[in-house]
Amino acid sequence: MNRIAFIFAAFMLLTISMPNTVYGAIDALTVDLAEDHVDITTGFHGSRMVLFGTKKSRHGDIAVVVRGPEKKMSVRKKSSVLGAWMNTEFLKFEDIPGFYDFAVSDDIGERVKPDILKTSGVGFFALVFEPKKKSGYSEDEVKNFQQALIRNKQRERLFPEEPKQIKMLNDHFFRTEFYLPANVPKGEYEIETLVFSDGRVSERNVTRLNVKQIGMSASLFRFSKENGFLYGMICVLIAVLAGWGVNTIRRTA
Amino acid sequence: MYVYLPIAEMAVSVETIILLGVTVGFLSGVFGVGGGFLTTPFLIFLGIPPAVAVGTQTAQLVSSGVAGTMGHLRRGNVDLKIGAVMLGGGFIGSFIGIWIFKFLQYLGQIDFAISLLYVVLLGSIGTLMITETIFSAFKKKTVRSEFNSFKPNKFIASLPYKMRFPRSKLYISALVPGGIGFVGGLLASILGIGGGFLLVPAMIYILGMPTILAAGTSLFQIIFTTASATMMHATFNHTVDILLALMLIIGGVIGTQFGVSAAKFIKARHARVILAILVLCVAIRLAGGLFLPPAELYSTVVAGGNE
Repeated sequence: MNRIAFIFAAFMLLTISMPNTVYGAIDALTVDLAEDHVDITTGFHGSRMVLFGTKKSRHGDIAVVVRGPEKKMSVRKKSSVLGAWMNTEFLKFEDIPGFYDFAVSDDIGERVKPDILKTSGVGFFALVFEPKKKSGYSEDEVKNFQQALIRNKQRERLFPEEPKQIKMLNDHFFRTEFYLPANVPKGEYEIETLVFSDGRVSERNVTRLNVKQIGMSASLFRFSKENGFLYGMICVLIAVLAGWGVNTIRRTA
Repeated sequence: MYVYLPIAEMAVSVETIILLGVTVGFLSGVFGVGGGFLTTPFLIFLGIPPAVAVGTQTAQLVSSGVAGTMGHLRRGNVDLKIGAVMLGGGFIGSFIGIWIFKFLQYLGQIDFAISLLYVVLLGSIGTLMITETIFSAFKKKTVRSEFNSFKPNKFIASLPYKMRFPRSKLYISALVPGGIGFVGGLLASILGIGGGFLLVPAMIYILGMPTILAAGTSLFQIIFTTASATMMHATFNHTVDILLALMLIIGGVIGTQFGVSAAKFIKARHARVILAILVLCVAIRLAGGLFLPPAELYSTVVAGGNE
């Protein structure tokens, strides 16, 4: 890891020393991931995601936001029906990121206003989702559903409990780290890095991360979807053979 | 050690799943039950989606069904003709069961339905088993002697499509064993259980089959209904996780060996009481989840249905 960091640092220094182009501020922010893909293999049990970056300005706060592929989510509410708790109410939300996490510089809130962070999609304020269509629910009820959605996502470790830290390696070069849990949704992730100067976004960079099933895990998944009947037959065949094996062992024993 | 399940799309601890398989295998070795009633709730409890838990569990049941039936076949304890009629009903039942399952999923009520059905089924069967064992301890007469003079009730005797089943010495409407098989198929598809604990008593008390033949024949038809449920879950729902099934099967193979050896040291009557208590414990645990106020009223799923 140290070597990678070293090479990286060297590369970064080179980039910084190069003359700026017309819109220098945008060019100057360079970000890369230690790995640009996360492979879900049979042994996958969560993965770290390390991001390095270098910004042009000496000062300024940094925010990094990771967003997983968006999904429609349905939030269900239980209530007691004849003493048994069953789902009775539903509210659908659209475009909910399958994964969301963010890292910010220390005390970013002291220099950047919450509404700027919110419109930039940074932090917990950005996690406000509106229901898909007009529902009969009151504002308070909708709020309960919204909060439950975030609470449940946090329990699954797909939404953060608190912001991650950004580690400044020098005035320009920074590093941050996220953790993708084992239940992380597959798909293309968007990692947005923002630099705030004077309370406004001054530099911006978007990079992507591909989270995909590979190897045997992927083949089995694809096979089960594309040829369910044959896949089922193989499952049954394995089960029959195992049962037959048990019987043989039992007889000889 | 963790393994990523390709279909469930989550990582599980291998040790936990194998241990679950061993426990269930042990029980099936001792009591001669499939143990699905234990596996499905436990898998759901581990966080595996109900659809995957049920779909995968059916594959494991095929394996324990085959192992059990081969022994019964060798000893001639399977009435193949009645079994064939039953599995005719079983196929239809497992097919309809899949669509009921899908519909409940669409409504967002599958967890509730599974829990409720388990509580009702396991609760009543467990209670029956316990009371019956207690009463039979007082009665000198063995239960078996009643069956020799078994008379089906009037309604059943009046049903059409009568068939002769020489092995069980029965002359009865094919609709009855077919209907019992149908229920078995429904249970396999919706709950991921073979339903032996329900089918065997039904075959004894409704059909009037000898106990030993009922056990063998029910296992025989369970192979086919669970196999058909596996196929349908794989084809229509894509919810059979082969890796999970494999771990459960391996655990089951090991556990069954221990169970069969242990069974020699356990008296049949005691075994029944232990099994009944176990069944009731699962029922009570699930009833708790159903009737106690949940810590979190809200749950979140990727939207599929129209709720």
